[in-house]
Amino acid sequence: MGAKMTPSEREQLIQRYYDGETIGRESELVEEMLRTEPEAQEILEKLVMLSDNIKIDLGAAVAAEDFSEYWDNIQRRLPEGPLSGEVATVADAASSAVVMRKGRRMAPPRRPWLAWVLGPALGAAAAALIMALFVLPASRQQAPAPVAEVVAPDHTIEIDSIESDGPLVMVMQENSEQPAIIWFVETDAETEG
Amino acid sequence: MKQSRNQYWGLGPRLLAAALATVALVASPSLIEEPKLVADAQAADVVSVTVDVVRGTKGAQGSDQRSNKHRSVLARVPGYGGWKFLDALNLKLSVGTSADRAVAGRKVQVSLESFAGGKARTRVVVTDPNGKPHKITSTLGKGGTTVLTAQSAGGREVHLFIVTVRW
Repeated sequence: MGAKMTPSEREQLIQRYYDGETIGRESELVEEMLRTEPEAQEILEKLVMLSDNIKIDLGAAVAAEDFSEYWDNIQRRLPEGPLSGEVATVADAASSAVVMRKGRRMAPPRRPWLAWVLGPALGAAAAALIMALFVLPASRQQAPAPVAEVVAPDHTIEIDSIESDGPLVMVMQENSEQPAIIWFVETDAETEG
Repeated sequence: MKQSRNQYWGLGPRLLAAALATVALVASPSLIEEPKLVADAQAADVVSVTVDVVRGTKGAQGSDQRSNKHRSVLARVPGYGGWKFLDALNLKLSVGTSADRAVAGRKVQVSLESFAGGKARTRVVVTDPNGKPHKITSTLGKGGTTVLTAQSAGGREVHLFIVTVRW
């Protein structure tokens, strides 16, 4: 079966075998090719060599790398203000594995000045509301309600003097509940309005 | 590690603010009452004098809307109707002061001569179109009203000067 395959197909099949991606009877086919075909052996050996060459010592690479700059970059991107629960959890876990060169950046955020202003204002508003709802109505109930003083006006008039050049002056007052009417007649040469 | 936003609103400032607000509210009635007492004391020397001027025509009927509040008085002026409210004088007088106003060809002058014992003595002078004064000095109690009725010489019209004192 391997003889019917083109060189390119044979190489791809061996590569997939090396990568563990063969399916069905492809593995048996490749193993038979490796047993019977020297060229297949050579292809596989090349793949092994290539793989070995690109392997890197990850431990040595990590030890050589300075991650402090990475952490600074992360810190610069973090939002200002209080940490949300999720961010705080991640930051806490990360802080145990990373050496902080600028520890003050992770200090608890300062309380904003606005909080000092609005905090008492909210407290005062709440107190005023409680007073308005409960205390003031109670105090009003305790105080006796003022009785509306409806006193009929006394129209009694004490006339001290009347001076008129007119021909007639008269005063009419039947009782103290009605205003007195002081009637006088104007002088002649009138200019009626 | 989870940080609640409520932690930013300290309990101390809130309690302090609540205490201050409570003190302010409790103290506010006294702060309001004291100026009121002062204002009452000051107002005690001032008498409010209102003079409504209404004109009636002999043989006419009815009255305008503003004159209706004096209908009980107008009904006692026989032979006149067609009442028209001409003017309203609202005066604040202290003892020894006076105010005047020209209305409908007449001049009205009101003086507060004395104010004691719940009585206000006023002097009202109505100068007719002929220049002749008609002077009435009288004393009224709180809310008292008196009506000066000036009948024109020909008798065709009357002008009512409805004087009310309050304090």
